[in-house]
Amino acid sequence: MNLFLSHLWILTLDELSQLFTRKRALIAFVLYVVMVGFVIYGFSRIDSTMTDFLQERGIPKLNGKNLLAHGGNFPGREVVSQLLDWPITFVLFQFFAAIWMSELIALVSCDVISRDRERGSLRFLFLRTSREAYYFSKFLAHFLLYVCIHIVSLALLSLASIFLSDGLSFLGVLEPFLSYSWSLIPLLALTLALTVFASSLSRSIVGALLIIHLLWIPVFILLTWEIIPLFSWKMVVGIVAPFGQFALMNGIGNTVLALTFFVSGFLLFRRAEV
Amino acid sequence: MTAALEVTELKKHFGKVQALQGLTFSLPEGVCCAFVGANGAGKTTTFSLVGGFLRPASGKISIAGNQVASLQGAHGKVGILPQDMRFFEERTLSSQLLLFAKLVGFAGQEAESEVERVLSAVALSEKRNQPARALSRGMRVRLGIAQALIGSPPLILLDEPMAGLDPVVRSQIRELIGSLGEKTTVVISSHELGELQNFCDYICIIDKGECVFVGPMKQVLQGDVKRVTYSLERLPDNLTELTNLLSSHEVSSVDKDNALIVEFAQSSLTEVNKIVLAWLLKEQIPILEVSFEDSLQEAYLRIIGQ
Repeated sequence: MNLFLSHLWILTLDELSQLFTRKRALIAFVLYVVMVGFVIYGFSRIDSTMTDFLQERGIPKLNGKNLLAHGGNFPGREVVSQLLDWPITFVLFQFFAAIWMSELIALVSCDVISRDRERGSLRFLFLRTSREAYYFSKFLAHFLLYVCIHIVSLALLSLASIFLSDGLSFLGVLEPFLSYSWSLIPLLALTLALTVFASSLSRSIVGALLIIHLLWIPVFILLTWEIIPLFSWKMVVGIVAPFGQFALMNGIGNTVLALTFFVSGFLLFRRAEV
Repeated sequence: MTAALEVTELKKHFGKVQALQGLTFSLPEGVCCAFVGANGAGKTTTFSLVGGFLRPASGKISIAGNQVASLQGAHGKVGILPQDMRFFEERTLSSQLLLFAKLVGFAGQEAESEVERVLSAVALSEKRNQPARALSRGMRVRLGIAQALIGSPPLILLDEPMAGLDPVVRSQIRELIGSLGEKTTVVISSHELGELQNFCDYICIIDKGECVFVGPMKQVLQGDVKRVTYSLERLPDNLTELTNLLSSHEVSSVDKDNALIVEFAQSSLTEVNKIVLAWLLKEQIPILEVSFEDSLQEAYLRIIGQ
């Protein structure tokens, strides 16, 4: 166990240093900030529309608790029909963020394992470390990178929002950002688990990218297939409307899916010849 | 004594192609073993199985008495120079070797020292800050050997280390392998039989995925001697008389280059040797050394039945 943890630490640090050396981390950071900035900008632009829309329905201001009271207990598909009744710009921005983040992670991390497989350097590593330590470290290094980028970019954007807006307090900005993080971090873990899985199956970047996009098909099926009635829909809605029960279901659902793909990917990789 | 490497009934197939068909051999500790076989005989597959890169269909592999689990490898116990070695091309030599050193248990300054040790062993210290992609073929082989030496594993497998190298680099690599010490078992796969004959003291010959001979190099070379080399203080001027004396013993050639070499087909070694020694005595030519050996090339062809 000690050896595993020691190797996990060594390999994670090495992968992180390589991500910075190859400027991948910087590219990911810039693209992520652009994405988050765009979404936040979109929120601010539609804020008045949203307020009017909610006020018409008796909700004074966009607020997690109010939304929960009004939208948290819809059964099954009605949740989606309710969602479609919301301002479409809001849904689109969140949807766009989810797609962009998935693509960003796919592009930046698609060769996380395939690179080593393709050039054969994986063999040098496996003479000295276990497949467990290697696979876990790749996931951990990239996960830490994206979480750090997420936190840093949100912090920067929070500060920018406070300075650029009138009357916005730090806490006022923090609340929607935390809701946003609650939705995106499990989705980030799921996307990364899929990316590492695909990368471990391929020897080329193109092959890995193709597999990542093919893997999204079963994910979409799992997301929309009502294995547990209500849960799946609330989970999907949580991606684009991360409030209350939706956010909770989304967080739990994406974490479970991320774990499923991570474990499946690892079990396949463990049996793979290199 | 525990074998440095023991392979038992190892089988491996790629689709319908049977690469190894129950390969069994054992190598003692501290030998430098030539691993010889035709293309496709299963040499590289064996190395890949020992390294844990491939999954065997069946069979066992033990390194220093410890069985190696399928696809797990014997971490830190074996160093391998793969045939198609490709490194972290964009990383400096020291950066990638430092990672390997840390993984085998060196920390901080110790890891740096280990990297320096292996880089100087292969004469690449000056290139430590260059990326691997900037290295020539010979330097890449030396880097491959350096990574195999990290942590001084008791077993080192070198797959075609001499291929495509100039004589100077070959000589350096020979010296390096020779300097690895008595505790290290080195296995070298190569088609350069003449070279292997000079610096390996053990040999394992595989043919069609099976081991057909394993043992000391001398044993294979003396197995069915058809060639005797007499190192002499001075070479005889004329060989006509000796050739006539040997004419009834199916001797195929009597030659002198740096030594007197007698090659024969089916005759008895004792008879031929007796005649040559008697003639050298009569000619008053002092003998420095007599070598009853096949060339490895001949021995190899004899063993695989060609």
